[in-house]
Amino acid sequence: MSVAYPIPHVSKQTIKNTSALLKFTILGVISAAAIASRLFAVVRHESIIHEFRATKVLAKDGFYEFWNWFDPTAWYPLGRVVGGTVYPGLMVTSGIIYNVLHWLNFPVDIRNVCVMLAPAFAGLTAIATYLFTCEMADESTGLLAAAFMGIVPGYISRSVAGSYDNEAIAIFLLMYTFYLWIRAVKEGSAFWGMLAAVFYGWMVAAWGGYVFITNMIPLHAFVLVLMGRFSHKIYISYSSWYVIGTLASMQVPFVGFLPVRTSEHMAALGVFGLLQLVAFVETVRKLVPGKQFQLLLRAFVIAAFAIALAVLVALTSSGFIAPWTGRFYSLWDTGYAKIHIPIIASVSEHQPTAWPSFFFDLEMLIFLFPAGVYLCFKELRDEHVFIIIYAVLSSYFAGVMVRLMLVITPVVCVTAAMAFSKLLTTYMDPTVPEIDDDAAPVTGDLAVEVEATANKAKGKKPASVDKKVGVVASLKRGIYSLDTRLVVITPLVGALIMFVYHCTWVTSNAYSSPSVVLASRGADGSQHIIDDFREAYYWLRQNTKQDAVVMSWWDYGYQIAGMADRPTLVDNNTWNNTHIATVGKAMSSNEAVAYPILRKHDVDYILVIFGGLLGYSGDDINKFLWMVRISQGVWPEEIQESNYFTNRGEYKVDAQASQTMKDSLMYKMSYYRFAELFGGGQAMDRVRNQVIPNTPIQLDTIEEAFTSENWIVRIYQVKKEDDLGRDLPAVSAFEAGQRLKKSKSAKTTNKKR
Amino acid sequence: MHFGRCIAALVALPLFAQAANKSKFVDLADRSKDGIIVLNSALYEEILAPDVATPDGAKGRDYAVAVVLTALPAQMNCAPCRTFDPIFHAEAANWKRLPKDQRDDMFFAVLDFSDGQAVFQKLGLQTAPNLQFHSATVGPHKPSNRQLSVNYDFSKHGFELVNLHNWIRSLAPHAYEIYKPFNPIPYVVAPMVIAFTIAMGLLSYQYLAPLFTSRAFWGIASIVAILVFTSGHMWNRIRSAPYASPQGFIAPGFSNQFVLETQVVGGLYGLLAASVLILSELVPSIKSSAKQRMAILLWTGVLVFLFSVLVRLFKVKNGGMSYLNPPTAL
Repeated sequence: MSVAYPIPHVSKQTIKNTSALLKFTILGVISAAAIASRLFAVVRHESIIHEFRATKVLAKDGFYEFWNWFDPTAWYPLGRVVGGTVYPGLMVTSGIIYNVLHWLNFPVDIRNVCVMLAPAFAGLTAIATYLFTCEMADESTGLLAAAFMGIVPGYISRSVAGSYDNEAIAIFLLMYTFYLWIRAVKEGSAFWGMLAAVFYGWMVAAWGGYVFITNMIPLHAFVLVLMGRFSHKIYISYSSWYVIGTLASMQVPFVGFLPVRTSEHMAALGVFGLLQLVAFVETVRKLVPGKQFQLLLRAFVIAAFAIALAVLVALTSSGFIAPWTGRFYSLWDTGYAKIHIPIIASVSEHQPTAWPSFFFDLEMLIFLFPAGVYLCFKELRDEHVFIIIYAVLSSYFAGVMVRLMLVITPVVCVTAAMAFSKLLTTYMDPTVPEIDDDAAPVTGDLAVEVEATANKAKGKKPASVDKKVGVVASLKRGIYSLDTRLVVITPLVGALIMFVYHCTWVTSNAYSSPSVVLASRGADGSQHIIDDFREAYYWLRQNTKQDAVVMSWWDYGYQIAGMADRPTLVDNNTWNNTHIATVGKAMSSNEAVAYPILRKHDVDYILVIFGGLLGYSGDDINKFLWMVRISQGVWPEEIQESNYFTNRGEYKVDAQASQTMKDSLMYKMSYYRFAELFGGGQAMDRVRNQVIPNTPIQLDTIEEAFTSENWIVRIYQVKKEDDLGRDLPAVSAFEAGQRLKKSKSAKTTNKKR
Repeated sequence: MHFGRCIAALVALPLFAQAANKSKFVDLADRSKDGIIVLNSALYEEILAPDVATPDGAKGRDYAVAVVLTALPAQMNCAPCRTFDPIFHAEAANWKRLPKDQRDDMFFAVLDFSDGQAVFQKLGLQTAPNLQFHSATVGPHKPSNRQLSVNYDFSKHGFELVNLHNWIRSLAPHAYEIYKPFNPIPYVVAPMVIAFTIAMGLLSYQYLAPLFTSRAFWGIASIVAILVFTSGHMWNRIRSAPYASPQGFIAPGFSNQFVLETQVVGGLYGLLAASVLILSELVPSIKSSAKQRMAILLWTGVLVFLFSVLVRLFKVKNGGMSYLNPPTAL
């Protein structure tokens, strides 16, 4: 017979109904799994969320209050106009959900909405991936892609419960916009183009990474034109997307007129113009025959394109159109950020990606990815061109920046699903080729039966005329025996199971502890929870005045604001470089220089993170050089990086550390009384594996206020000026019982006598 | 014989040093073409700690010194030293273009290992080149708020003239610029190259057009690009990773890698993708069931084996990975 294994006879209608039900159920289960796997963090710890004060304002006081909200406690003493300096999409989305739920009389807390937003949108992303993949290949591939997308660690990393971040909703919007765009190109309908534009507008409101879409879609249209595939479908869909999408994006105050005034958006405008020209030429060509005239037209298009380009260059060089902003420019010129924008280069997410990270986040998908891209090349319909461009661009971006792993993940899931599904269907298809060179050809008229079984296997509608041809052609190729089918399918199923294990393991180990709670593992496998951050933030909340200003490095700004509810100098919204540099200067200068800065900024408490006791490597001493570099960028005469190295150019904190290093406020605050812990033994810093000298560190202008259990967070209180008008160093010398030197205070007391 | 002369020089030195002062180094700098003073051990000590008081009366140096401790002779086999030498000379020449009164506030000097073993020993230097910058210790150019002696970090700033210049200028007593002579080549050669390229493009259009419109060309280009990028090539570029180390081709640590390592990984990805494609695209077309069985067994074996090699490699990079030991739930 021509089937490798028997297939039960089921009517076509039953197959259709069952597959519809199965599809629906599977998609539902995938979404549920996507949500469930993101709840590790909440289940294991509690729901911890840092910064959602803006959303609270939105939920409590309404949209206009949020729009005009001035936050006086952030960026003290400057404050920050929140509405105009954030991408409001995230807050507005959760605000809408909150209001809808309340309108339906579900009394949820806005906090829970924020915590659960990312998992909920991850479920939606799985569905969007399904829809997107269905446009590229068949529905079973779509389900596989959705399953991959639901649990792949590369996406979980930014969407666990409690990570209330722009990326939480942005990836859904990205995938859905792409889906709508592909629909629009396929249908050539202004309606789908408009829908794509609406979702693009939402994306612009939600994440700075919208620029990726802004350039992906024009590039797709441009490549299609270059390939000679220009059609009115492309013209209609692109024009409707561009016009409505640009207008929508300009409604976001933070974006404003950028879409017409910066280079990042010029590709979209240029392609828009090009499409108008090409459409014009195509129309004229249809109406006016004649070779010379067509030549003229072609010359006209090229000339118009060249002139437009020249105008663009002129406008850019005259400054009307801003050149590429540093953030995006640094993606192309990878050395740029380190020299010119240290604040961007300092973020660990902005480092390049080593290969283990790719494998860690994508496991087997990473090598199925090129195989899927090959399959796209084989078919090369308009939508496959899109996938190919997306794949090449995003693999470059993901290689340059760890953070952009997020952008490559969807396309990897889609293409890997294509390759995997192709392999599975090839080896699960029960039809056996008719002709076998090794055996006598099968006789008899099997065409009808074979056709029926082939249709059943694919679970599809009865074959059309085209399909019949396909089935007949496919009879010539296929797999002959059952055992070889099993040989291939068994390891594939094994690989799928291993993928699930890998995802679970990565998610639970790497991405499920909130950044403020550290989990470590003892030698016997027992788990220790290190909760110093929350301990310290609650101490601040309960033991300091409501308006006490806390200075820390910007990484901890949102946490202090959210969990300790105290004003901060700088926070994770790094909009003011000078202010950050000021904090860096205070941290890296000696007490005499730092004290006036602290007093001028009304700083009451300084918070430093110190991992030397526990071996927590993400501490402030390791970030210290970036503080130095950033403040050097603003005060090159006063702060010099080279001073913080030993004479041999090493970054050391032990006895050989340079004097500037030892005098810096950061060094003193980190190691103050550290050596005493070891009772005369060697005070070993476990992060840097260096011995801290035993000489006691003297603090004159600040005093220790709080140190957490494992010394990770240390809080110092800034002393006020002395009541008697003495210098603070003189005060501490006096209290230590030392004789007064001939200092200013000594002279004044003499005079008074 | 040679050794004896060295001793003689050392003995003679204190007497000589008494007479020496800044003007001696000014002389030496003026006489050399780039303004570079070639030192030996004795001169090195002398230029850093002159015995003669400055005009103000304070003891110390009222000038800055940028000195390279290098090993230029061929038998020392120090490639970076020879790379750095012309760059340092060019930088010294930039400084020499300053007017005389400013120029004498900083000296550029070179101490070769063959002339200054004593200094190398004293400083415990195992590697070369080393660039030290010694600021003035007295006088108007003494810096107020930084260390008097700083070392150039080659791993950070690298061997480029611009970086070296920026580093020295940030420390130097006077601002100065890189001297760029008028270079006619871009204005002549560049248009010629552009014209040539356009002409070649037009002439070879009919031959190149099939290439640029061929699906295979773009397919291969895209897939190679994807393999190169996803195996960590950009990391190598940005961090300038070494090709391999004597200990092996795998770099220790999760976020660290060697070039060879990424090439191996990229090759593995490529082979794995190829075996997937062969299984799904080529194997079904085999017209003989026996041959097909052989092909399936072979390529499934390749797929499973290479995948396990890849996982093994990843385990080496990420120690302590074990799926079957999930963390204890609380």
